[in-house]
Amino acid sequence: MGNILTYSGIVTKVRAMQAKLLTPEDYKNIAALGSVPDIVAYLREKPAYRDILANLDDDMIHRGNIEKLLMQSFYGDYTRLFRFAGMHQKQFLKLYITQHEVQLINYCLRIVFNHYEAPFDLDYKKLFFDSYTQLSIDRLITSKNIEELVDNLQGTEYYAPLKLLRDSNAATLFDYDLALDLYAFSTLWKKRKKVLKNKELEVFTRDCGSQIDLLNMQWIYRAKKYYNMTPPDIYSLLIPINYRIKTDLLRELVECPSLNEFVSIARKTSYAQKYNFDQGYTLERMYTECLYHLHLADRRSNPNSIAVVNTYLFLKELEINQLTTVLECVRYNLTPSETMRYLGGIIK
Amino acid sequence: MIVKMKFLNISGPRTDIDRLISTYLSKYEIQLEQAITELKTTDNLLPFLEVNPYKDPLTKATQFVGFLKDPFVVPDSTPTTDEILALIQECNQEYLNLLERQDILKKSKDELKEHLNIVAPFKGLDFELEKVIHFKYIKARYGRIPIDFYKKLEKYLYDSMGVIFVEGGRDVNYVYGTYFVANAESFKTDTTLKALHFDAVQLPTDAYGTPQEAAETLKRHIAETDKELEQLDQDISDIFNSRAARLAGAKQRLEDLSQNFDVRKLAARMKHEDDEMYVLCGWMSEDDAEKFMVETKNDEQIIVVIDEGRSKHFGDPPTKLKNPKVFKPFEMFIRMYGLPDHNEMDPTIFVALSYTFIFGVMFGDVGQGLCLVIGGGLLYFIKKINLAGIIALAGIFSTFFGVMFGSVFGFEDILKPTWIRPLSAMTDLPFIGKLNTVFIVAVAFGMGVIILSMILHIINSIRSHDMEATWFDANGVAGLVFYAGIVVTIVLFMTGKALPGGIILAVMFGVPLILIALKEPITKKIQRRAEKMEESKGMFLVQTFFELFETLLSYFSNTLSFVRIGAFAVSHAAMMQVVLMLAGAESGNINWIVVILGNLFVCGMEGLIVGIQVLRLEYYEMFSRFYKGSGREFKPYKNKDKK
Repeated sequence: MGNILTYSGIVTKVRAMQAKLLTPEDYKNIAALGSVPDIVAYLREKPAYRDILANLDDDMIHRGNIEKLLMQSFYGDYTRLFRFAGMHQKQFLKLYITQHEVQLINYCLRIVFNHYEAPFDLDYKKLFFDSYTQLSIDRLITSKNIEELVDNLQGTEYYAPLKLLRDSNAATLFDYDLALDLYAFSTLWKKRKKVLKNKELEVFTRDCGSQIDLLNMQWIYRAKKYYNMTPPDIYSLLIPINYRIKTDLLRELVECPSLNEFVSIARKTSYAQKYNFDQGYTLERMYTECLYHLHLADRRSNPNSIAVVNTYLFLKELEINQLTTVLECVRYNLTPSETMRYLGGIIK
Repeated sequence: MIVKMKFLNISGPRTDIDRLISTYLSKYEIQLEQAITELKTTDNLLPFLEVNPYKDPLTKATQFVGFLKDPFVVPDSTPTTDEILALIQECNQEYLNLLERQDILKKSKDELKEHLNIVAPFKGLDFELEKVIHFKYIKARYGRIPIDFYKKLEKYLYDSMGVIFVEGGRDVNYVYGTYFVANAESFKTDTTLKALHFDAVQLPTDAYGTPQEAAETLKRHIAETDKELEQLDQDISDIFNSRAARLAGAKQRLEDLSQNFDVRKLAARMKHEDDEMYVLCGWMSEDDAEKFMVETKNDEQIIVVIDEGRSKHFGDPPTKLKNPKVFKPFEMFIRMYGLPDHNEMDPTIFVALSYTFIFGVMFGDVGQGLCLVIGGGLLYFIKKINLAGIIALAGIFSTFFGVMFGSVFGFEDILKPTWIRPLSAMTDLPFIGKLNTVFIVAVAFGMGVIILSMILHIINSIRSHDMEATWFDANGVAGLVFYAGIVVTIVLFMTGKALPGGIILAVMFGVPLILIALKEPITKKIQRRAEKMEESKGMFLVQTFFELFETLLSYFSNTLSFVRIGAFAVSHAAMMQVVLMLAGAESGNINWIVVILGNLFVCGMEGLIVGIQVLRLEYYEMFSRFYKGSGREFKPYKNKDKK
């Protein structure tokens, strides 16, 4: 209860913002709509998206543009929370945004490696990234090749790990992506102890640890299913952190010869025990659902802590992902029930 | 004094130029001018376009002399030019050979270092490198693996693989080591470790024994190479040091030769009938010119012409100062301000006398003055620092005024003041009241100096035939009459005598002021120049009014400026009082360390401030009245002092 004074302000603010999140009812309605402009019209009625979508010209209504605008809504929320937060909470928010930084760099890496013609469609992110992150989009978009890109990252924490890779020459896009992801998760894991204390640390460790475990499982699964990778290769791409999945279990997961065996071993994990693994759940759904419930539980049990902010940001990102999915489904004329299946029934 | 200058034209057959320079010109001070541009009136002049053959040997010689251990070696000047060139050639050949060897050694050292860097991280391995590689049934691979992946290897794979990884060492990013694997397993293991970013390292072929030993061997080799390099440096330096005297001589001689040869740059050549002639021209002092004429009279090859109508064609002559030795240091101040023009008078002696005198008043102390004389004198004679000479001369006056003020190292009770004590002597003046006597004397002195400056200005103006400046300038006769009038009036008033009648005053002050104000139109009238006034009458009046106002203000402020002379005389005494107080002179037992330190401090600090203040008085209060300093310095092509 000692946090009640520190958090009462920001928690109230989060509550207010939370009220603007879409409800399951909304998703049903959206899934039932027939076209993208209809969805935009529907979202324009919603307070969370009203302002952002208001400026969109009717002839600009296109999935790509809408997705960018939806992202703006997330940045807007983050900005509002950041401005409202105290010193300590700001530190947490900075830690949180590293995931987005990594995404941005990965995007740039892909462009640079694949030599796209008209690259770097990043203007819509510029304002936000210039103000709230260590990356400078102006500098990044001048990069012509991987060397320049790494040079342009000078001064950020990502420079050192990428430079090491660059100096070893023969690195591929995959190597860079991997190095960056591994670095991001390792630092997140390391820094959490600096930024958070006691109960908050415990909660965040659970969220973050579960996410890492689930991601590792997902990657092993995909590596096996789609790429037929050998165990040593799989090991090399795992995040070197174990939370609930112990080393032996993880080794079993990696070394099992077939997907069926993988599923049966995966059932032994604590995550599978909590959430029914049989009813046609994919690993991806398990990942989202686990994290969803975990975050909600955190918020419930620690109503006056950083968990509230964390949960809100998680939900907001989830919402944007869902909306993106719905938009795609509608665009390709899926039936409402199919669309809802893709949404994964997380929103009950 | 300013030395009179003559403009000389020297010519002769083209091939004779070197002889002319080495036999005659090197003995005299002459400022050569660019002949082609100076002799505008003569046609068909061509430049000399010859490459200086001594330039290259000279740069080499300079470089070689830089290697000498004893830079002050007595130069051996006996060898002939050809011998010198041969010497340089020889040295250069040897030097280049050694440099080549040095290059090879440096390269091999770099290579060794590189190998060391490869081997060094494996230090922890306790077996012989090359033996392991040649095992029959076991394969060994050296390399490094990123730490993160090494951890994964340990955690997940190590137990299930038929591999032994021996760690040799690690740094921030990598673990270095060897893994051993049975031949049959090697392919699988290699791919596994490759997946974990194991980076195989090719060990250098010159690494034997355990990594530790190999590293040490390499280090020893590096040290040996270093030694060889050192020896080489020694050899290089030996080349030159064994010929030190000859090289130093060669450098000096080459400098001369090269400089003499470069005279061509200033010379012109000219076709004269079938022969080619050289033409040189330049300024020489009158005495030197005469001697030079006498000496070359019997030399048929050389024709010297002294050009009298110089200013018509060749511009103003350069200024060469020549003063008695005592006043020479003060030429520095003149150079700092600007040398006098050829028809201006040289203010060196004036500066020397006024500077030392004023310095003495401001810094009157027998003890400290003598210190300045001795210290400055020593420095001047040993190191030839001009400023030290100035200080020494100023110190003489300091001592003198120390006697006048009765001050010895701040002690006021040893000597009886011959004149007054600056701190306590007061004078009653009408209208102003009680004032330190030194202040009044200082202002009076200042008035005298200003009047003197005006007279000097008038003399200078008469010399340069500038009527406006002579008569109507604020520093000319008009200004002099006005200022002297004021001075006389003030003196009369202060001494309590009756003032002259109002009409006389009006004439004395009014007429000169009007003349100063209207100097431009009056001069024009007298010289009958019919130039139109550029601005309207109103503008002219406004401008004149403010200029006049400014002139009056400057008379006033310049006069008061001299108060500082008195002020520093007082402040010196006051500062020394503080020093003595700190030393406890009043209580009877004096702390001598404080007295000495205090004296040193006051001497240094006041000496500096007074020195600057007096210079300011010289430049601003006096020079601005009579001195232009627009001359150019006489820069002889070959300076005799340098040798």
